[in-house]
Amino acid sequence: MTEKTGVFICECGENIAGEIDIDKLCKKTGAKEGVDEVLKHKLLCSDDGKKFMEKEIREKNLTKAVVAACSPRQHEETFRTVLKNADLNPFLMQMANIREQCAWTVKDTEKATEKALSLINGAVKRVRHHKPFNVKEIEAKADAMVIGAGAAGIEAALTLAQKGRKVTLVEKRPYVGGQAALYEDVFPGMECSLCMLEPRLDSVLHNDRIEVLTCSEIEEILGFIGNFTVRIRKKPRSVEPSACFGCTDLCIGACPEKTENEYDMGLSERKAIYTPFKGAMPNVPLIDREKCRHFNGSDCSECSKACQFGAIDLNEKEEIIERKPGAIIIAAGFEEFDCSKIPQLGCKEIEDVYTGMEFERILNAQGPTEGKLLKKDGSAPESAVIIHCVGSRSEKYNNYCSKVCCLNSLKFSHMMKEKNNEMRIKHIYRDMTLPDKEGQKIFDEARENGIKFIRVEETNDIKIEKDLGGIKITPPNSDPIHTDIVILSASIQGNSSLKKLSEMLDFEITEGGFAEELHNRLSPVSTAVEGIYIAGCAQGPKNIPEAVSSACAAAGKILSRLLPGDKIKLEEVTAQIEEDLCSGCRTCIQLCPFKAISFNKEKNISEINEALCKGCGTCVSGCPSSASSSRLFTETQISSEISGLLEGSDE
Amino acid sequence: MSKKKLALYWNASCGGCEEAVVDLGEDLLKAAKVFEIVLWPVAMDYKYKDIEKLKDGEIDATLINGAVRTSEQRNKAELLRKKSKTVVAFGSCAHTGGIPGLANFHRKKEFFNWIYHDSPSVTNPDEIQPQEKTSVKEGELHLPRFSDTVKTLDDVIEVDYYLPGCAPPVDLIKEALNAILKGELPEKGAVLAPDKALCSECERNESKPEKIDLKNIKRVHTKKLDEEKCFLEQGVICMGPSTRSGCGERCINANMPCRGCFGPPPRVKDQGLKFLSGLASLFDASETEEIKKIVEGITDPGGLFYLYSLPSSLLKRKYVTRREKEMEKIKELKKEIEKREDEIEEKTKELQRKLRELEDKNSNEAL
Amino acid sequence: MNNGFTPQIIAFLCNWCSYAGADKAGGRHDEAPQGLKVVRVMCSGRVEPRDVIECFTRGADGVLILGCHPGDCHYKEGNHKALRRYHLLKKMLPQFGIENERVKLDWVSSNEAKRYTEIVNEMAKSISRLGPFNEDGKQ
Repeated sequence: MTEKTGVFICECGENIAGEIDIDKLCKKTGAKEGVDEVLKHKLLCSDDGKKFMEKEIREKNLTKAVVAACSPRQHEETFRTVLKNADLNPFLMQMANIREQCAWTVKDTEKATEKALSLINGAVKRVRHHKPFNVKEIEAKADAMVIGAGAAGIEAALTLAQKGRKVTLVEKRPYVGGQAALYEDVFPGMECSLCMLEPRLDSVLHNDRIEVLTCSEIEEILGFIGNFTVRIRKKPRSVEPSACFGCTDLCIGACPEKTENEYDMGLSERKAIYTPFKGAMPNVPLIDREKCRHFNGSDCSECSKACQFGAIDLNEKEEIIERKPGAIIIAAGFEEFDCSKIPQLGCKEIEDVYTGMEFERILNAQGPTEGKLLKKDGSAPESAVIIHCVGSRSEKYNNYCSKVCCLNSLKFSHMMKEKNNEMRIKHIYRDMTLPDKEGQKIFDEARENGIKFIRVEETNDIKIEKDLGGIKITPPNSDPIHTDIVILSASIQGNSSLKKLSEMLDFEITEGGFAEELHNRLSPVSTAVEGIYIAGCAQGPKNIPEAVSSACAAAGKILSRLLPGDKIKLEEVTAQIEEDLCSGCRTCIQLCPFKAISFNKEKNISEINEALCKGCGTCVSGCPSSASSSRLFTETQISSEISGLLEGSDE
Repeated sequence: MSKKKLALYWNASCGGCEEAVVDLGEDLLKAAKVFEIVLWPVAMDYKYKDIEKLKDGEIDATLINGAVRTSEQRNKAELLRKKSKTVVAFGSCAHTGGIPGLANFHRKKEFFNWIYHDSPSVTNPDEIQPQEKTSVKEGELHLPRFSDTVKTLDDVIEVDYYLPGCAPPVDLIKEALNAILKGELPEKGAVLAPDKALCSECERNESKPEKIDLKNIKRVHTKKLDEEKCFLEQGVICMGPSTRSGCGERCINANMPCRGCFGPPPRVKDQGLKFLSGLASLFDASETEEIKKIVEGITDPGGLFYLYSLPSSLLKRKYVTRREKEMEKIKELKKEIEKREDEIEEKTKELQRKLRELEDKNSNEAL
Repeated sequence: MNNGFTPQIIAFLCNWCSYAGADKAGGRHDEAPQGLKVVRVMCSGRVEPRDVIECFTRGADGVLILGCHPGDCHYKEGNHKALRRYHLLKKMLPQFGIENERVKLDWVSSNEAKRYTEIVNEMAKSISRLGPFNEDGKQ
């Protein structure tokens, strides 16, 4: 069939017709090589205009179309749909922007008409080289995986657990609830944290569509959107949950081995068989095989003998489990900055100097002191100093603000005052971060309560020393302060497991060890890898409502992208590598921002996974052999467009 | 059956392609048995008149090496095209312009000025330069016209096949001759070498990392080169990714990076620009200052990326800017002024001398 | 020194930032140079040195590449890649007698209509001063 190109010229009411001599343009366009029909219309995007276009394509048997009108950013989709309706492949069209780029910006009518002709000619010469193609679809699973069962992870899992979908929730720790489950109260309402979380934890553990894997870590992730394969290393709990009645006294009571309890930040001891804290869910103890005598040379099995329900399973083996989700949310959370990196603050060296997380456990009713505010020597403190911005906002440590610690510090002073109203409490701070609706109120209330605030230039330069009867705090260029206990409000940073995940998935880690989002304004829960989302503090410092919001957002992204039973449409303008021309030089692989290109060692060529390709074209321009080409931005198309635009320009 | 007629000719070249043919060794004798060589200036004594006498298309195949920059070379190329069924552009110079092509960064004027009088080892006070036409009492002498621009062979005549390389390797030459003999040549316009770029055959490609972060580009002579790692990985420029394979990696095996003599892969029209894009893609820098620092390490990008292919590139040669033209005009005018000033000075001296003579005469007579 | 010469400038604009900025400038009816002709690409990273030189060999007097500001690229880093190629090309241009001012790369975001107008008009002015590219060839 011979090629027949039709040029549709839109008058756009007076917008174009008022500035350009339409009749002259039609005539001159008709005289251009490659133009078979010239059809003008008052307003092509109107219903009438679209019908007109469809009719003309059919009646005149057009095989290619050029639409000279407004910006393609406005109506490219509109006119592609018209072509589809006229049974013409939608990509056999090119627009010439004779409105924003011509009628509206060139003052003289004759000059504008001349320029419009050039722009149309460019499109005509380009469209000659357009080839039809169809947008590809691939099979996709609607199931999801959430990594991390903290506040964000749980919210994501519950939102995702809809009909037709399954969710696998993978948690490194032996309990669900993350860091939030370790707090006593949360601001602003001083609500009991675990009580607040408990209904949700219960939901997630008893939801038919959610599989919770505790004591589990991600071993390997392969694949792409709709088709991931994840291998999970499930460590043995050594206690069978279905058999365990949750009494926890018998096995734990019988265990002869003691060790530091990491969930109390080392402030208390636990046994080798233990629960992280009272009320931890699932309510099933686990054996720390590194400390347990049975796994370290002896044949001790006291816990097994003590358990009346036969729930102890010393023979349980580590398992590698495979799951195939369609998308993954990384909600691996945060960890606290290691304050011992600033030796002069005395963390771990001086008694009664506590980090934020340590103090949370002290305040916690299930913690090392059962919630009683006591110094190391057992006596009650009469004074306290809370130091803000430890490890924060400094080039030497984490050079950002952790957003939540100021209000958290005010929470601490509030809770201390509740326990002992006579306590003299001071905050040493740099600036006060009091966001959201309640921040200011919490601060005002603290001041009303007689809590003092001392502002300094830099809190990381404070010197903390032991003193006769207490602790001496000396801020730089300031008089020293004496106090009984010190709390270091430390910076929060990305959980260390994010590093391993970033290597597996090729997303970037930013300062502070957080996962990098795709666009920091408009795509805060997506990553550069399609199908991998981030939620909660894994992306950056957040308070609980923000973490929950981002989890809902990430879950929403998955719910709308992956519909059960539906295939997913891929990007239209993808690139392809011609096997016969690819030399295997791998230049494209390091160029692709979406990790869509991989190397086939057998064939010694690079291959593009069209499911991941976003059509940016950088591999096309970077390929030293021109083996990679774009569907809609080929070398020939661009050269022809350039030629057409410059033709006859020296007349 | 009569033997197939074969001609070999050379234009602007170094003679290396002739040596490559001689490298066929004993196979050359075999070739002489099956081909009738009707022209081969370096080895045999046929004259151009003999070629002119042949019928059009009588020569079965002509292998022409060398680029084209004089009228003589153009005339011979056109003559041989007329008399040949098949013309093969033999070697880099004929294919993409070769090293003589680098002359396109300058103009004839610059060369002739340097060679014939500006060079420190030349004494030529009258600034005599070769002329196309010189009149002597016996008549007119002609020299071929020397153009500003070096051209590829296919820029002046229609070329049927290309045999790339500086010089083409013996095995490719043998294959080509066999194909000509048997009449089994591919589609017209083909390059008689594999389609993929050098990396596809290079031994060092296997261990090449997926990410090469070029922070420093080193020139070949400034560091000890590892014998197994990819050159680009070592920070040394290797044109392999944009150069057709088929050469047997002679340079790579001698621990030197590829310089691009086989010309670009099939889809690439301009070898230098494509390689430039691929090389810049490997830079480990995102800010202008960092990028510029890396770029500093490439002292002569044009000469390096177009070592063998300048005449076949998109731009083909250096353009003269308006400013340059104006500067030249100013220089010429200045020279003209100097010349006139010298003439005036000479004339003035002459007149003054005459005046003194007359004055002396006058005073003598008065006495 | 204009001599009635309208500089032909090809501008490669990326769909997400600079093309949108140009549309906005059009919406404001900002005057654009007569000879400025736009080639739309999805990302400035798609533009390679060969495209720039093709413009010159087909009659352009200047080439402009406008991408997203660093950090804003819709495809993460396409603009950075364009920048690397651009600087290496710029180093080579003098060897071909192409004046520095004839090729320019800059960043324009989708709401910088004014900036777009300034950049394109400034470019047209500076190319006017230089004169046409390959004058002799065009005659």
